[in-house]
Amino acid sequence: MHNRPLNICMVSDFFYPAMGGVESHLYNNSQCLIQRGHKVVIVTHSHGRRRGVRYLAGGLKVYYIPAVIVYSNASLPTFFCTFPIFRQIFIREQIDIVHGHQAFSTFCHEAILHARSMGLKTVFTDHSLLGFADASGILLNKLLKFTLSDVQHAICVSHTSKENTVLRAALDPQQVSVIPNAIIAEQFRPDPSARDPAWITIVVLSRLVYRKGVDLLVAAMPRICQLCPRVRFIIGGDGPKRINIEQMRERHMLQDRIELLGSVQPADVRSVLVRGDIFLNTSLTEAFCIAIVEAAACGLLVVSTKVGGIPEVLPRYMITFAAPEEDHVVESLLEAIGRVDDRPKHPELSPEYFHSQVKKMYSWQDVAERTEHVYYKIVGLEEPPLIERFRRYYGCGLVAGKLFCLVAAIDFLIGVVLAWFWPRAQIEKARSFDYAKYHAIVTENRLYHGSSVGSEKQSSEPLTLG
Amino acid sequence: MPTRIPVPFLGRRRDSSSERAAVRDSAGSSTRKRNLFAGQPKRQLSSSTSATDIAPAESEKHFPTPTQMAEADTSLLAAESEPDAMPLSTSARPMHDLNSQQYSQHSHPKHQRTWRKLLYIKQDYPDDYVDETFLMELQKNTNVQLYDYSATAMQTNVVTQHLSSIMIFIAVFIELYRGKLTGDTLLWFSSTLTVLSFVFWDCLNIFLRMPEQRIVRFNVIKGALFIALLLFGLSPILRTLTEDTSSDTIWAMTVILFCVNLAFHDYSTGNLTNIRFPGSVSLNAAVLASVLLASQLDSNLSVFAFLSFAIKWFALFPIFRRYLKRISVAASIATTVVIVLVATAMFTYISRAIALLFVFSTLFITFGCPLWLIWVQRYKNEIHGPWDEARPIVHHYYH
Repeated sequence: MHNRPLNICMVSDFFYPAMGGVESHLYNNSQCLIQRGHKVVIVTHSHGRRRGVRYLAGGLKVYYIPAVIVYSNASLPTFFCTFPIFRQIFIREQIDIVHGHQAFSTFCHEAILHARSMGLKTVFTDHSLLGFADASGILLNKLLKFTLSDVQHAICVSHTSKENTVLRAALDPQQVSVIPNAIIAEQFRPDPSARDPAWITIVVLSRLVYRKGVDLLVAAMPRICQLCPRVRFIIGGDGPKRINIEQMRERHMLQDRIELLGSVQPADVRSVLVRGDIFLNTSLTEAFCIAIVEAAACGLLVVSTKVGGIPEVLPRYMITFAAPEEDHVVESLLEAIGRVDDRPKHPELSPEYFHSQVKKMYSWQDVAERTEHVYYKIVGLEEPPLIERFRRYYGCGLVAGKLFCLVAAIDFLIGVVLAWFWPRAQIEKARSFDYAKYHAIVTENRLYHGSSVGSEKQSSEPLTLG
Repeated sequence: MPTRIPVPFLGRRRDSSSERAAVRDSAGSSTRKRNLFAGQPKRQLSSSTSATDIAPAESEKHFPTPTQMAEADTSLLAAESEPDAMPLSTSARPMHDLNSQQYSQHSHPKHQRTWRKLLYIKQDYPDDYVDETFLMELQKNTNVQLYDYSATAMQTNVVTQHLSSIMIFIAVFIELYRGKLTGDTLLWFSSTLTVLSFVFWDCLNIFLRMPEQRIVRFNVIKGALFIALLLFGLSPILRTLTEDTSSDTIWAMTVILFCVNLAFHDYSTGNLTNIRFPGSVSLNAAVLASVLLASQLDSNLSVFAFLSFAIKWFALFPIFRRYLKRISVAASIATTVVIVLVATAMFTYISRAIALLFVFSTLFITFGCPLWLIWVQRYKNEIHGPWDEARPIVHHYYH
């Protein structure tokens, strides 16, 4: 049983061409799962003119479903309206497991609900942390409880995230796995020649929003500039708080010390990172910070606020922690600046060593292997009777429980009606993508062009967006 | 002080999840489940030796200065829960310990090294392993302050005051509407009361030397005259404003608007003179309600008297009450008693039932609601943990 290739459907509102952590996680994880012999289909909402079925590199099939976008790239919740099309996709692609990503994604919740109505196994991955105090958090947690009451397994990106999810959705912690994110280490090689040895360069790369701690940054930067005349800052990213940094730069006349790059394309991240000695992250909340892993892979010393899952991500010789407080950030930065000069004396602090270590720590192949392990664990589980599903929903709350039961019941009935209208047998099965042939052609082309024979492993090849 | 809860599952939730697990067992998957959670290393890593951990033996071989390899210091990890325990880059690492663990990993698989809350090492535990330290950093109800009954009961007097003032206002309208009270009586009465209160306020200010409440008297008189003239000029228009609208609609709308007034009223004692957002909604609702009521009256003088009374009652009286509460609690309570009695007395002439209802609701607000609030506090469930969004602390040395 363990060797049977699976048909997996990843569902999330967040996928390319939008850019972000969830998007790259979906893409890279899917690519590696395909390499492990599974069939992976991604379902997301349409982005502008990109709608319909597309193939990405490596034979990754993506369904861009037309949908109304309501808020920050999440689609309008329609509850049942997406059932017909999801059912068609699940049957066409002969899906075994539906894997939803990110709690903010409407598609993810709906797909999991419909998949459960159809008796498919479901997995949910949570990529972010949420508090319990604010109104949006309370509402979203209720919704998450609904979705997760009938999910076979949940995946979180860090142990802190797991604790958070278990509390938010009242889950059995044994049903939750921790599988971190990863990076493509090959894309983040250090390049000592890109550094300006006259300066100690501190790089900041993040969206410039409140949650990324821009206030701390604004407070700490002038102090560091005053204390260390050799230090300069490079800030990549854009956002509403950019104006605060610009004001601070004007006020303290640090135009020659603080460089603002504006938004940085994912392809250019490495070229910005390798210019620096220290990477500074001042996030106020973070489930798993990919940015600091990328920076460490590029050989930078990392200074980060100690929030969320960040303490779990990097070993202590790579990272210096700071409390989310101005004085602490300054202190930690000074400590890291002091270490920059030590680096040549200690080979275990060299950028190459950092890179080789990070490469060992995080790889998408490993993530895919661990995800696959989750899939195999749940794929054989026995399907509980419908009444058991209702029982789980009913336990979600005094009022909410009944409401959830109602929703689940209606969804189930719609499923019955759909099965009558559109019998499973009448739905055409999608032709499977010939991965072997695809790889043969790719390899042949490479040989023909003679460009990269033997320089790159086969594994890293499809990991570029086609 | 934060209380640490070793098994921090919320009681109700744990029940449901364990029940769920039990049912799943009975559904027939018990054997599989037991196999899965038997605690054996699950993932067969294909590249186990090369990829596991940051091989300490190797690092030792290559780099003879292990001082900075602070990465694996478990004691440091234990200290990490305190945010002010600043990391030290040069902490001595127990090398022998690590090496023995490394050794045991290969030859004695039963001797597992302890699980650590880290992602960058590959551990001998399955991904869904739940350690004893799970949710250790959860904090429940850390900054909850329990209410004191008598203090809470005292605090309710602002609500009682406002409710009574609305009741008095309605009673005045009813008297006016029935013709038992004439417009000029009301005008004289309310104006005299206002002037007396103003003089009292002013004297008190001079007596207490409160610079923040200094009022330019000339401006106050100018403003009062302006509003009075404006109202006087507008009162014929306001009187006929809702002629075409049925009285029932007016009564219903008035009730809704007074509910809004009650809900959004600024009960805090913080600001005295400037009215901010929720308070302004409340004031607007009250003025609109008064205009609607005034349009039901039949003479221009009554309309003018009623509206000027409304403005004094809803715009100025709350300020006076807040001021009184700030300077003396006893005076505030005395005011409460007086206006509750006045409201009750006025309503006994109009409707005994409503007067009774009012008395009971006042008693309920003053004595019942604090009890209710204190009782309901036991269900308070405030959860904090490392996942919370941090509050950045910025000192603005440079600003």
